[in-house]
Amino acid sequence: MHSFKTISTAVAASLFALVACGGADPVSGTWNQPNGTIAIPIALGGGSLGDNATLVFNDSVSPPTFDLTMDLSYTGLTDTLEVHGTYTDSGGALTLDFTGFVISTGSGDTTDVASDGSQCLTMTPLAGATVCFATPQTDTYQIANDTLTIGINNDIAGAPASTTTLTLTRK
Amino acid sequence: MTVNRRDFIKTVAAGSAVAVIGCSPSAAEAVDDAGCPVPTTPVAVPDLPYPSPAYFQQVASDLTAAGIGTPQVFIDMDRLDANIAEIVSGVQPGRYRIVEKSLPSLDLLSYVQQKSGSQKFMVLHLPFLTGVLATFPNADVLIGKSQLTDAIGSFFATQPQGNWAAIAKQVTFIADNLTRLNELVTLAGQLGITLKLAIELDVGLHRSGLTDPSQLAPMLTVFAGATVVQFAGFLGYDGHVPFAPGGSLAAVQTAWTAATAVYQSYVDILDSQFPSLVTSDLVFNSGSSSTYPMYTSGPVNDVAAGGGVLRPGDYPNYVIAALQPAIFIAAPVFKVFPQPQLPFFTPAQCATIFAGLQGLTVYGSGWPAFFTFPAGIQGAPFTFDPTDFSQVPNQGLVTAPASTTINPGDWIFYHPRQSDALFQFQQIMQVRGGRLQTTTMAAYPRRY
Repeated sequence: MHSFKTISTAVAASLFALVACGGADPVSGTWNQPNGTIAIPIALGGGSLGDNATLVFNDSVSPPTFDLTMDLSYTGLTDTLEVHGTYTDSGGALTLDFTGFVISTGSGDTTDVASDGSQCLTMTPLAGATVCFATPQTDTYQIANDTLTIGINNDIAGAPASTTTLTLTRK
Repeated sequence: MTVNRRDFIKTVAAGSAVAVIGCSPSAAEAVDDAGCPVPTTPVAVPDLPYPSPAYFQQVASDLTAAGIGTPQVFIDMDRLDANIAEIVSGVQPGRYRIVEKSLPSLDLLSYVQQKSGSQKFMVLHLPFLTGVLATFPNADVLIGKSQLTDAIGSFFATQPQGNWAAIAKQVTFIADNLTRLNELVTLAGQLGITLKLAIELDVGLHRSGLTDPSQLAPMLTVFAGATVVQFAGFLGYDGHVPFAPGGSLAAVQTAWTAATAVYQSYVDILDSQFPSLVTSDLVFNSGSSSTYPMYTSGPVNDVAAGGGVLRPGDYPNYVIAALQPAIFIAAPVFKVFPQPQLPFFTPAQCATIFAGLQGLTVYGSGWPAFFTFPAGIQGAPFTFDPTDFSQVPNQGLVTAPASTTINPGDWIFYHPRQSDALFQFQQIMQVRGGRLQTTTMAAYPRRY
C-alpha cells in the first residue's frame, strides 16, 4: 500500500526534478525537522534530547556542500550544533565529509579532531557533552513525499557509536 | 505555654493591675487559678556527664585569677580528645568528615584534624571556605548544603583565576534539583572549569534535596555525558532521625532504617542505570553528631560530625552517650539581689515569685544554653524565657537558690545547646587537667 503510491510519487517527483532542474541532486535543498528528538545512548542513561534540525544540501557548488544545524535541548540545557562539510550522493546513500563546525556565539563550545579523524564538538552549555562525527561516513537515505530520512553516525560523550536518525521535511 | 515579648508586656501589665484590683487575666498569657500570671517552667538541664562542682569552682578561680571579667567560652581539651577518639572509632577509619560550621575556628579545626587524622571537611558557609582551603591545602571539602549558584560564582570571583581549576577539584558542591544542576552547568561553562557536584537527597528531613527517586535519572544523564560537571556522589542529611517521635532508641533506629532505605533507593538507580558514573571515589554522605555510630551498614561511606567533639546540650543521647560535654560558657556575676524585684510587680508579688531564691544579674546571659553551675541557677521568671526568647548576650537576671553562696565577680557556667555558640566569641579558652590554660584559640577570622 504504502509503497505503490509512495514510490509512484517519488518517481514522479524525480522525473519532475530531472525535467525542471536538469539533473539536480534529489537531496539538494533545505530540509527541516522542527520538533524532533535524538535518542540518548543507553550507556548514558537513555532518554532523548529535543532537536530542531535543519539540513541544507547545496549541489550548485563543486563539490556539493551540506550544513547541518541542530538546536538541542535537554531538561533546560540548550545548545546549537552546526556542522558543515561536503557530500557525494551515490543514489540512496550519501558520503558525508565533515570539515568543521560553526561555534555558537558565547556558547563556549570547543572543537577537536579525534585521533581517528572524527570531527568533534564539545557542547559546553549541554554540560560539556562531546559529539563526534566520523568522517567521511556513508549513510543511506530515503526520500518520500518530500520527506528525507537519514541516519548519521555519531559518538555522543564517548558512548558506543550510535546513529542519529533525522526525518526532515523539505522547506 | 511560653511567654514571648508581647506576652511579657501583657503579663507585667496584668501584674501591675493585680496590685490595684487583684489579678485579672488578659488574653493569651499563662495564668494561675486566680488569674495571676505564672512563670514558664524552666527547661531541665540534660542528664549528661558534666564535670564536678569542684571542676567548675577551679575554673572559676582560674578565670578570676586571670583578671578577665568578661564572658568566656572554653573547651575542655581532655574531653575534646576523648570525644574525637570516640567519633573516629564510631564512624570507622577513613569515613569521618569534620563539619566546619559547628567548630568555627581554624585553630579548633586544625586541632580536630590533627587528632582525627581526617582531611575531609564539610563546609556549610562559603565565606569560610577560603580560610579552610588555605589552612588545609590537602582538604577534601564537601559543601554541606545546596548553595545559591550566585554564591558559588561569587566565591570563585574572590579566588585567583589561576586557582579555579584546582579548587574545583578539591571542593564538591551540591545540586539539590535539576534546575540547580543546570545553573551549575552554566556556571561551570562560564568559569571554564569542571565542577564536582554531589546530588542532595531528601532522606526524610524534608528540607532540601530530591524528593523522589524518579527525579534522579534526568540529573544523572546530564552527568553521564558531561565534561563541565562531574558526579561526585550523594548528600543525604539525617537531621530528623534522632528526633523520631516516640523518644526511644527503637524509634530512632526505625527512622534511621527508613532514611537508609530511601538513600539506598537512589544508589540502586545509580548502580543499575548509570554504571559509567560509578567510581570508587564516590561520596555517599550522611550522618551527624547525633547518629554517627549508626552508620555501620548501608550505602553511606562518609559520615559527617562536627559539634559532637564538643558535645553541646541539644543532641539527643540515644546513641552518643559516650560523648562528654566539652564546651562551656563562663559569665561573671554583676550583682546579687537577696530580694530581687521585677518591674510592674509589687514587692509582695516579687517575694512570692522569688520565694527561696536570690537574684543575680550576669554579664551576657542570653545564650541558648543550659545552666550547669552552680546548681539550681535558672533564668528569672518572666524575664528569661526557657524557649530562648530574647537571648541577647548583654546582661540578664537569673536566680539561684537562696542558700547558694555567690558574690559579684563570681562565675556561673552554661552548657551551650549548640557548639555554634563559639561563633559569638573572638577567643576560645582552653582547659586541660581541670585548669585554665594560657593558650587560646582564635575564632574564624571573618563572619558571614
